[in-house]
Amino acid sequence: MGLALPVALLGLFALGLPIAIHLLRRKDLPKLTLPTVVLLGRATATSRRRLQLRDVWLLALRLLLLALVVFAIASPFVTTRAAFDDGHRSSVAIVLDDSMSMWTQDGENGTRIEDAVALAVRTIEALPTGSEVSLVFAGHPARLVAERSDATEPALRVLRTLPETSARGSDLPGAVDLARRSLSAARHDRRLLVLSDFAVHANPRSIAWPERGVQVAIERLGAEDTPNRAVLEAEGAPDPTTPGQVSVRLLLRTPHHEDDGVANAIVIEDESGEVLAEGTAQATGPTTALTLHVPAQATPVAFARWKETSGDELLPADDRRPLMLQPPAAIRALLVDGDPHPTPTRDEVGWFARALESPAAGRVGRVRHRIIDADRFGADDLGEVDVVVLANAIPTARASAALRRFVEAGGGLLIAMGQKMDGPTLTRRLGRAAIARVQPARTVDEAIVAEGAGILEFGNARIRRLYELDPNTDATVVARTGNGSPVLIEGRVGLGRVAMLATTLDDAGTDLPYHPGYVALAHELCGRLSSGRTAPSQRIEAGAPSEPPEGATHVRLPNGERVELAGPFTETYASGVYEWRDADDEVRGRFIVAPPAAESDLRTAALPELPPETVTESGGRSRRPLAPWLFLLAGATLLAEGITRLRRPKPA
Amino acid sequence: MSPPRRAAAREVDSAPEVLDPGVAARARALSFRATRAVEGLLSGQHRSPHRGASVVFVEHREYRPGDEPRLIDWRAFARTDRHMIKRFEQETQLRALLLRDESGSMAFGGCVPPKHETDEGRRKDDHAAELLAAFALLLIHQGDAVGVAGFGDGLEGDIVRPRSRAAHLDLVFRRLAVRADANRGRASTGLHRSLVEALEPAGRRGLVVIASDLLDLSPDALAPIAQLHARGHMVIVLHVLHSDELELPDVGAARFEGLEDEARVEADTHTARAQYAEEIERFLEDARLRCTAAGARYELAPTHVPVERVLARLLRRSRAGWSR
Repeated sequence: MGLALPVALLGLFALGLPIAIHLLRRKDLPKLTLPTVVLLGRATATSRRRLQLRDVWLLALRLLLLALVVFAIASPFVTTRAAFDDGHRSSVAIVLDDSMSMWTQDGENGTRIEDAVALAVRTIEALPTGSEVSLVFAGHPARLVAERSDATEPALRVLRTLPETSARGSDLPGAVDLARRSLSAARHDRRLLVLSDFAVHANPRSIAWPERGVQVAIERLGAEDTPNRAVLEAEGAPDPTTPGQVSVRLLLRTPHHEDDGVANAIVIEDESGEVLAEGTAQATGPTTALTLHVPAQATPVAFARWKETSGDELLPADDRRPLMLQPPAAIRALLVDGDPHPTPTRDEVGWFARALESPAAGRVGRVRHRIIDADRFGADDLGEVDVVVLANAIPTARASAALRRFVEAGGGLLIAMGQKMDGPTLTRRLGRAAIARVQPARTVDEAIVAEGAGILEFGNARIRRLYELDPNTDATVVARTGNGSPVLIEGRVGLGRVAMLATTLDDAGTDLPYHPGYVALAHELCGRLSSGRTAPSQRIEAGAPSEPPEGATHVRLPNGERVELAGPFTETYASGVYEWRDADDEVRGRFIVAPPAAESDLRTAALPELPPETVTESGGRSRRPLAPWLFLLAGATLLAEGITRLRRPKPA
Repeated sequence: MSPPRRAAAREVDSAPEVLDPGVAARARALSFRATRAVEGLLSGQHRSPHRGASVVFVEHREYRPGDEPRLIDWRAFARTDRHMIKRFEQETQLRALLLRDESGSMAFGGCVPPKHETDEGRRKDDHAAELLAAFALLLIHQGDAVGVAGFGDGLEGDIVRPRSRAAHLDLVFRRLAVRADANRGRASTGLHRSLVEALEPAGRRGLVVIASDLLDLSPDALAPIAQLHARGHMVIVLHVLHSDELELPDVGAARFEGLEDEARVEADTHTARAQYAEEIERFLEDARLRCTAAGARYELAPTHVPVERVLARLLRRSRAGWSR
């Protein structure tokens, strides 16, 4: 129970008014003399009590009336533990956010998801017989888990069998859209209940609420702006400088970076819990990067976790993050040759191909490549490829669309410039996969300088023909010319990575191919760009289906359970390492599901603005205003007061 | 002159006429005969316990030495051969003491505008004074001695001893013109003490007329009446009450206050009138029973009933004999 306008309670001071009037009125009784007052006193022992009682009753009624009006103005409401429990038969769509952040342990009765499930169950059970219920989960991807039906048991069963953990991202807008569609042609009054933590990553502002005719109730679960320490990213890549060693680049969420006493020690451990490496990040901001080096392992799976708990680990799923220390298979590169030539040294991708064919010192894996002429490059060529190298080539529109999807699904793309490169056309066809706008070329003579403490080595290579690149905001400049123009930029697009080289891949625009570092550069670029794709089964998004490899019969889940395979494997909701296994229970491959970094951000977003004409309640705990009842009661009290006043004898 | 007496004198000067001339004329036409033997100094028209020379034969008695020979009844001697003398009643004048209640409650003249024309603005003490004045006029007119005293918590003020001269009537009237003072400290009615104190000035075998509202509810308040009766007095109690006391006016809710420091009562007369009527009826009946039990003659004298009517009823009942 609460008050929408508690300041109105100040009006209770007015209760003194009828009391004062009552006392004054008592003094106002006419004074009459009567010698036989003793006899009158005997006679009125009963009636006097009645008169006093009536006066007190009148006073009580007036006080009650005033108090009722004051309380009614204060707009009291009761919060019921179930939404839409007004007894009306209705068609209710429940959107329940089952993204990872809902497993944060700051709910009223445990985790946020437990509170949400309890609310949903209560709401369903409170519905009168004949009501319809549909259930939509808002974890990515949004899915309708219980179709609209007047049988509530399926929805309740789904709620009762919710998994114990999740690494799903949020798709609240998609879920609301699904729920809205599930309510179309509903038989009763349409109602929508949304149960979510409405954290910033849920992007509630982009929710398209139903138009008219749907009552919406939303419930924010969990505390506001809960601080959360998390391992946001952990990627292992072979260390080019130290053979047999893997560099693990970590990105940490450090909410208490301003507190000196908080240690951000990180441990890399293998599956058996043996510590492979550990280090401490010097937190300087809300996120902190840290690179640790671990020996290449026979088992490529490892975990990055906090060494010590600090009390900010309310979301366990993001405190221990799985990672692959090395790709399990060779990187497959497709070199799209924009200027084929029989002589390898004059071919556009000749130098690059020969660099990939050369054994790179310190590289754990190797890169297999295939060359295709640009005019023959099509969507069908992306089937078994991890990295595509566009060398002085712009694909056709159809191939470009396929290439965009390829990158967003985790593929790598290297775009090298050349005489045939046309910036506007490239940008138009590749869309966001083109991470920089390409300006016309100009002739220069400048050295290539690696940006920061990068692992790419350019030696004293120089650049002669430079295509000016204007990188997008989320792209990173890896190397520049001496006067600051970007030479190599890199950026994420979807699950994949894209790099753009501001000069040619051969020796037409740079002398880089003549330098020994070119081989390492070629391998490193392919390795980096294929990080989201190398071995297609290496890392997938939570909830995404995964195709089993040949011979696999079942999957061993991160919690050790065994799931028999029958088509694509879809139970990829939990964070951890999944193993494909054959009939002999031998491991045929692995993939990891890492929690989405955005889910670790538990800051609270502003509640979405609801169209007022469609909203009758706010909150899964429905708010029932009591003011109308209080006004009704006040009216009855006024009536009773009037009757009592009329029956009261008039003073002389 | 003591301060109360000076106050009383001022009261008299400003007092209205005690007795209405019309009432006085009608009172002169009435006569009162004592129903008990009385003792007076002078001869009168009332029966005396002593034998005298009246024409009313009482008994024969055997002659004893010292008796006057002229009283011998020779006819009886002839019949009985014994010397017998005839005895006749002695008729004497009446000594009346009029006691007027002058307590605070007698200053009551109604709590609302009067509903009876006859008691418009009429206070109980004025009504009592007129009753007693009429009685005094009647008695003195027939040659009886009349005295007056006032009482509250005891006998108060001047006591006018009984005299029978016509000039004495003025003194009686002036004494009766002293009004009860409602503001003199809320004097309470002390009937018992007042009547005990009245034993002495009342003397023996006379008439005592008490005009009071009898608002002394103590159990022994009227006990001295029996003493007066035992001393041979004929006691008449005129129970003076205002019409607003007899019938509570319908004024609605009000705060009622007594005139003698009684506790205040807030009452709604709409609902209280019926119970009050029962209470006042019980009070009147109780007063009547206690008076008659003590040997007094009780007459209710409401302020709205004219004085001559009360007086006529009193005298009529006196002749017919009092109901006990």
